Amino acid sequence: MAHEEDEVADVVVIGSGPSGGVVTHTLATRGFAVVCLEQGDWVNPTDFPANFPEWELLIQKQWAHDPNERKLPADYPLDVSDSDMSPVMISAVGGSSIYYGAEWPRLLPSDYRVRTLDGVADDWPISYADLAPYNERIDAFIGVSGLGGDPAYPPGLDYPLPPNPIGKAGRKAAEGMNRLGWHWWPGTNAIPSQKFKELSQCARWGTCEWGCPEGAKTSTDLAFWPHALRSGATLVTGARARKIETSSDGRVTGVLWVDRNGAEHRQRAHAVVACANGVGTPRLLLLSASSQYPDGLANSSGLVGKNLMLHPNCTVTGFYDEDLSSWRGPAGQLIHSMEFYDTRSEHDFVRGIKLHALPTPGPLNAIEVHRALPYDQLWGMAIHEVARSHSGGILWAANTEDLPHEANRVTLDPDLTDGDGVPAPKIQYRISENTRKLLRFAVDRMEEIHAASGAVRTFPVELWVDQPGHLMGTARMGNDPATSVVNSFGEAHDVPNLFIADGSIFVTSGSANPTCTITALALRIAEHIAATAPARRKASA
Amino acid sequence: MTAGSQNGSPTRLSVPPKFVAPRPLTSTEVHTLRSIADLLIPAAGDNPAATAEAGFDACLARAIDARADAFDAIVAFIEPLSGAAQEVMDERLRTLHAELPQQFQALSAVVAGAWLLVPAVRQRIGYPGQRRDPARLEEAADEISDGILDPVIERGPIYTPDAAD
Repeated sequence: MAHEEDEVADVVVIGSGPSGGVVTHTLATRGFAVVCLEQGDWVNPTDFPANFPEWELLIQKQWAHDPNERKLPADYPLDVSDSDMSPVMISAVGGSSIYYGAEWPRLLPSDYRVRTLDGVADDWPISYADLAPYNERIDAFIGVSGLGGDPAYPPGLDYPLPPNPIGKAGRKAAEGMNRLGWHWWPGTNAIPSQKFKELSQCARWGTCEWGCPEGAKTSTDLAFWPHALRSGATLVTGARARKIETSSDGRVTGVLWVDRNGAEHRQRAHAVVACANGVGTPRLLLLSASSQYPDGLANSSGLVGKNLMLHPNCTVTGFYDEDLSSWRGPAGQLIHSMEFYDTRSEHDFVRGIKLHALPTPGPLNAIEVHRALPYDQLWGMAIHEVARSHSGGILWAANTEDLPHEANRVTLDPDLTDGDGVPAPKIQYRISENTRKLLRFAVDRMEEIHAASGAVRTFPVELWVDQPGHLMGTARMGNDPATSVVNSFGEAHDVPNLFIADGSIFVTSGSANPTCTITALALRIAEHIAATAPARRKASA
Repeated sequence: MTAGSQNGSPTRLSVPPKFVAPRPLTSTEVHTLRSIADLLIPAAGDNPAATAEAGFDACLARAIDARADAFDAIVAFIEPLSGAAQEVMDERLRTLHAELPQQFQALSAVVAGAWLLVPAVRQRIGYPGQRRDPARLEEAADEISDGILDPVIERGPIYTPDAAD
């Protein structure tokens, strides 16, 4: 018997990451009674591995990006036996933004019109211009650092804070780009170059993707949650949602969740917003199957869980015969390039890549990169020079645009369960031929850049199996209920008071890092929820 | 909402407990690991061998704590190498590298990781450690004020307009 929480919330939000933080904050500031259920708990800046000199060893296992490696109490396992990649995430207040690099590029106008422009996938039901005002408001709220005037974007794009320094490594990378005549721009990062609200000024620790010890990265726990809590929102940590419940009229009535002592609770609500990421949200919708919704909640299209997109990443790390102070952050992108972002007639693939250059902090990490060499070129007499190479490294990385394929999907695993006995997600994901071509193309271009910049040694990795945590497409938005799960305001076609506001609703992936777009969409959705609440109340009365 | 651990302290749901090796290394195990360290990181020119650095043993203990997940595998590998000749050890390391790369990764990361914790080594290789190093107010502007962005700006817009534009 589940314990009934006394209060009926106006809105229950599932997940406290970037989308959940934005939705909760937006609704709470408008006077809604919002309860957010988060299966993890708080992580403090003092917890992160960079606080300790052995940080490079700590990130190999206990602070790994992959939940299947980390196996923390808040983590749930993923069956990746039928997947070319391992989706990564962290369950905590702030979600995976705890661990992201805070690269903050918007999608480009072409991303919203892929079907029209390139004849593949589908167009989004909204345009760049529709979302731009929400991007601007999010950027202003969190203090994005960047340089206005990037010619890769329509005119008018600017940022509230000056860019972060690009450093010696960024300049070296930029010099190579100039020799090739390719686009580059100082990196846009959600890393404040000056103190901003709750966030410290970036102190260039260089460990952004393993947590910022300075509290100087726009993770949602710092950028949104203090404001949301001050606005009256309720955050319940250690609360693992296991089912969204519905009534006989087909509307959602609340969420069944399990606390860390195994006790079940029922949080009733007038509306539910799923913000559990591109894997967790379809898992929850499928777990919420009932006699009324036998194929899972909001799944009359059959598309819940399908079209998983993961932005396969490739890298080329280059080492240079000079001190680039590559231990210095942010990381964060020092510079980015949209040179090969869109389809070109001379290519044998469609769509493109986003390139970004990062520093390479840490000598043990440099040694790990060199493991591709034969034994005697790394160990023995060679190790001293390899260790010294850490200060002259540049990591070029590429997000490849991952087109939607229904066979790439999240389902419920028939055998694997989480710590509460709830079926775990099974990931079925194969890299398409188009993406393989993109990966090869990206590696070749990054080798060219390093050569143009004067690298003395490079190490290509054609696929990061431990992918970058970009989880998209599994509950896509659209105007047609037969070919999409939600409308452009995240409202489920099948269930009038159920919303989805995370990366699940992406129609295509673009190749820009997605959190910028996720938060802008979440703001748009939250304001729609607020604006339409009276009508929904009336309809349900 | 927090759950209790068996020792009564709150369980951190999203933060790993501090890794600690299941037991301290024995003096024999330390001796064997020192021999392995000097094979992987021997003296070369002005660079001392790993164990010639003051404080290596303390750093080794810290490093093996940080990879406590690999403690059993590391101890199992080194146990039969106690007192072995350097040639034998070298051959076993190369075999491990070739046949069990994950185990070799853990062993060599602990040994190299310990070496890289030694302050004198960090100084020699120019690694200050990750630390606070905030930028000057003008630093970003100074870096790009010499015209390095000019070619990009002069080229003009490169984006593909929305078909509706």
